[in-house]
Amino acid sequence: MQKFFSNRKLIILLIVIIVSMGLMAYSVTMRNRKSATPLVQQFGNDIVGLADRVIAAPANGIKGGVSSIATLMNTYEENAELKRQVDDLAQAKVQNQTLKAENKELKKQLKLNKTLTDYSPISAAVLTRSPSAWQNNVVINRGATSGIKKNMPVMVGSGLVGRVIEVNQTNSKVQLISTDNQSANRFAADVTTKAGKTVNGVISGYDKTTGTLTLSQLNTDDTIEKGDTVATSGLGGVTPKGLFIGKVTKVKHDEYDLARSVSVQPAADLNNFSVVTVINREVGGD
Amino acid sequence: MRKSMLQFWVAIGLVVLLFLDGSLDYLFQDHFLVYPNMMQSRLVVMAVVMLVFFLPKWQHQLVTLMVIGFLFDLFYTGILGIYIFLLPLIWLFTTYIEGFFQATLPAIGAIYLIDLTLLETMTYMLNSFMGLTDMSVATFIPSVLGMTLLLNVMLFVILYFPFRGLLLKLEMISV
Repeated sequence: MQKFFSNRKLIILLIVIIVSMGLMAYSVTMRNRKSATPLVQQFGNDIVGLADRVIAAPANGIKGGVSSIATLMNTYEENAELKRQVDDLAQAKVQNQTLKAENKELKKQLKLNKTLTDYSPISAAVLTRSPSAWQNNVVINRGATSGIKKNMPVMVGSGLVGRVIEVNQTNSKVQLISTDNQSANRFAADVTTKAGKTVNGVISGYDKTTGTLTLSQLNTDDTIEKGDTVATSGLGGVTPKGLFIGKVTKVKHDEYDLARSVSVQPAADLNNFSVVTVINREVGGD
Repeated sequence: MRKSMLQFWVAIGLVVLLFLDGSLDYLFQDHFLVYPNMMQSRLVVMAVVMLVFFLPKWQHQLVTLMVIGFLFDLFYTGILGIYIFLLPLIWLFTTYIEGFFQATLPAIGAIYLIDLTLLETMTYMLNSFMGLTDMSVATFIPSVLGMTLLLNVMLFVILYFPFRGLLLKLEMISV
């Protein structure tokens, strides 16, 4: 060890540590800002992203093949179950269409253009996932050229999965809601109770052991029950209103019965998806 | 094949392994990255350890590793300054203790385990220092460190001989 820690090497080591700490501080600060990713970083990411497609394409092909075989196994039962649901859905769809048309008419009469519920979807495929237990990131194959901006919410078919944290020209990074990053951007959400009332709160964390999200800072005393639906409230940021997050599984009180928090089972499977939808709210954010 | 060509192919190989790490974790994400089994594949680190044992060192190997580490930070995490520093550190550490061991599977495996423990502990420390995780040490040791070691030892045992063969062949044609 004597030789390794000679004076010159020690100084080099110190400089390296300082530089690395500086770089880390820089990237965390940049992430918390609203501004776009620095150009140099974008450029690097675009090149690496292009190269990654060479590896990712066959790998994802295999994944697709294997999961198709797996789904083929339980096709029969699933088909029977789905057939039952389809009848329901057709009715709901027609009703939905009528309501949408009516909504549009009423908005026109009120001279309302766009509201918090209006958004346009951008579809993207997942390229790869970061092999790191600390950053719950996936890289998707759409970027600024497809109209993706920082902080946009990301859905899979069934529910909210995360938020765009870094945008490059041809790919972007999505941080999943299961992150335990303390400086991560939070979603404002609301619970619709059985009585039809709305309770506002903030998704404040993820419980790894139960796989549920924690909704806290609830604003009223209205009774929330197990099974109530939780969706984004559209307050603050660039998230539209009404993106489905999940269902309430448990209502917790603190020991003095003052603050409450609610456990929410996410509707999306946070560990198994290959196509995502980035949501672009049509009303400008703050 | 000239020596510079050898270095070029090693660099390409490391980049490919870097992407494979991500793809492996994505392919098996419902098994690998679910609490309490947070396994991260670390083929790049394995390659770094094997390089030390089976290929002659060249002058700018540290720079190559810094670039690879930088690519990891840039593409996967977006938090620069972690692997750019840790990958060369792993290389330095392995080169330092290489002389005390013979290049056999158990010895290299043991060194690989030590390297991985070092790497995972450092990344954990850096990430909790920056407030990017609030995992406790009691959770980190069994579910991240333990599981990552387990996965990578298995990958190591499977890949050791093909890897060694490849590296020895590369060395043969380069002289």
